[in-house]
Amino acid sequence: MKLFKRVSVLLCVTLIIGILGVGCQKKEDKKEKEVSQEVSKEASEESKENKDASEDKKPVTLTFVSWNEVGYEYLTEINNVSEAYKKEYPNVTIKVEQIQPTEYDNTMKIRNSANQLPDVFLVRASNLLTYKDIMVPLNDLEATKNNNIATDCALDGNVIGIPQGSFNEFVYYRKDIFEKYDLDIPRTWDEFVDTAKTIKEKGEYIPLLLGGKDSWTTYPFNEYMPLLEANDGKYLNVMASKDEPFTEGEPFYTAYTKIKNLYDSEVCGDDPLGYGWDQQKAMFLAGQGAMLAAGQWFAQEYDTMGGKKEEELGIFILPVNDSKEQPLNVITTAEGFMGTPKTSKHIEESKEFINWFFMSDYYKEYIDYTQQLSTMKGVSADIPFFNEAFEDIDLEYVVYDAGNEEYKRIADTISFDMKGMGQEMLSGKDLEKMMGDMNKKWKAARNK
Amino acid sequence: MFDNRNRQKNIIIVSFLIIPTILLALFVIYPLFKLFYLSFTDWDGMSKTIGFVGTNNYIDVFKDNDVWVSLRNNGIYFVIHLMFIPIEMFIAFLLDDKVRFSKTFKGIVFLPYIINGVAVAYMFSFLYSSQGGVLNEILALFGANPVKWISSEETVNFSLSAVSIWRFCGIHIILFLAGIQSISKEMLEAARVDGASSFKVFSKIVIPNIRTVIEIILFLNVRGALMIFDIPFVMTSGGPGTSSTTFTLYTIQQAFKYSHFGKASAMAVVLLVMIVILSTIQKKIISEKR
Repeated sequence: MKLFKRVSVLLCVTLIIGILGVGCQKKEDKKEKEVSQEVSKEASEESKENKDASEDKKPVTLTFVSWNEVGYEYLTEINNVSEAYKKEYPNVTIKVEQIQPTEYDNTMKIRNSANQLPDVFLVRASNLLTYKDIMVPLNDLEATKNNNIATDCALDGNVIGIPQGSFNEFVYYRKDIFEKYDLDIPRTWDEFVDTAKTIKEKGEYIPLLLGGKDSWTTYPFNEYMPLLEANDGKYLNVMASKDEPFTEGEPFYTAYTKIKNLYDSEVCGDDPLGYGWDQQKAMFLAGQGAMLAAGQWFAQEYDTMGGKKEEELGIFILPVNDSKEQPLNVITTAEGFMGTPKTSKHIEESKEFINWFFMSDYYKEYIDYTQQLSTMKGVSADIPFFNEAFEDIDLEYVVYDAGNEEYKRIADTISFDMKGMGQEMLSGKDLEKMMGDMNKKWKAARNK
Repeated sequence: MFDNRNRQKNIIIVSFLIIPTILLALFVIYPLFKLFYLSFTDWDGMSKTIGFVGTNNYIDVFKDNDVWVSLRNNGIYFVIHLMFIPIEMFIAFLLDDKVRFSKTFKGIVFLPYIINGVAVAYMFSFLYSSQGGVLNEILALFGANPVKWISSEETVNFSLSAVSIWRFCGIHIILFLAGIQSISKEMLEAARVDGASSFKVFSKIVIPNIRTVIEIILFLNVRGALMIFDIPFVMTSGGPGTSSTTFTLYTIQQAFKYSHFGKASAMAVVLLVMIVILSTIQKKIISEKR
């Protein structure tokens, strides 16, 4: 028994010493690591051009994560990015990973809390503020200097990501249905609602497909229309400066009244909350619905599903305006901000890769395939399909801004979710009550 | 020689105990303390600085109307599962030996439990769909109007609970069956020889003898109803609006969608406390009846 006790005590003491030892060692290692990182950073900046060739040849694997399904197909199958990059940087392997778009944000936040972020990844426009402090500034890159949007999206003077592309929002329609009923392209909101009602009266097709079971599908209306109505891409910041932005006469209220009018016309089918995005796409492809609102990104997805967009689809800009004399406001979103986190073990290599991605010919080929607009100076994408929507129209571009810190603070405090509000409106919730409740919550959060 | 063997035995015992103790401390006790600590902070999940906010997060949880809405939704799962427990018990009793091909039936009732939860949710999404969904198509065959299974605030939680019942009934029945099969056959035969009906045998002999299994299943019901996540997450994402948001789903939304890791941690602690309290109450009720 005595011996048992002695052995137990001995083991416990060894264990405690071991844990403390490892802990202290870790601390020292960490300090040493921080110092060496600073030194190596300075050294690498000073002698960037005189790098030793043998160091360059050290094999490095960079992990690159995105949510873009079409982009992933291009990066891995159509024109393998790792192989393309190896032609110039033979020592670097690019490992591409794709995460489902709906899971992407949660997954990346979990990876961040576990210190497991990849070397290079895409940050959504709406998450730039969230990642502000953990990303490496890319101010000194040639790609940043040659980008049309990156510096405008700098936070505290730092560009933390370079947008892969930008896109506009459209209403896609099936040419055969519009021809069958001899319908014109609507140029005002009332015309748009009337077009949908006309298709509904014929009783053959769902006029506007909207898979509201996935709340995000309501974004072309519930998230973007207030900005279009205000003709201000930074309208969310304006909202953050007001106590009651949901009052009658405010752009948000006006936009939501229009949306409510559309949803109440029951032009999205008998039960739009009973089906989601996947079914919405499939129904559109099968010709069960006449229209669908989505971004430029949908065009390539339609073809990937087996459709022939050039033959079957037409597009027009969602006409939020009240009269034809007004110019049409169209929203433009810069998306997929490519950056590298401070936790990456290969920061310099990651920056080099980002620079190459945007500055080489690969970028143009990538945006051509993914049907996005270029964000780089002197590069334009070859996407003739979209020209139709811009013909003979007086356009005004509203560049989407996801909101400043004050907006984010208020929105997070009251769990402000415009897409969720879209679902509630589809379910028939009273708009006046909804706006009144939002005013109260917003004011309370603002003054908190 | 004897001393040596004893020493070896003790070293092995101590070594074998230390490893699980370290694992327990690392993966259970430490995260639990971390959770408690975070519940008193305003951490947003990203920033390096963490501010101490005292009990503010707990006050926020109790003041938040959506928390109560989510708890009401959890309550629906709890009550519906509770109502099904006697039925599950009776099915287990029948499957014991009264039904032909009872082994096949046992396999069938257990099958839904071993199917991946996400797959089950996807499967039912198509059954409930408003566009060509199987259930509405069947209703149409009989000339009935389609039902808004998952798109109406009135029906959505009941539709989701039905999926949960379908999935978890099997494991309950198997557990009840294991309890029933542990009852001595002589006791059951003696009751039958004395002329007791099946119902009498079930209520007077079976139920009192499987109290421990009932306690376990009631605990599983409390835990499962409060922690239900995958079915509403996949099928409705908590919608329309917040009408099918459950407590766990709301906790995850608070953490990842609205960057309130502190509040989400407080909600996780509240969940833990609720499970302990409700289980204790249930246990007390059953013990008093014993």
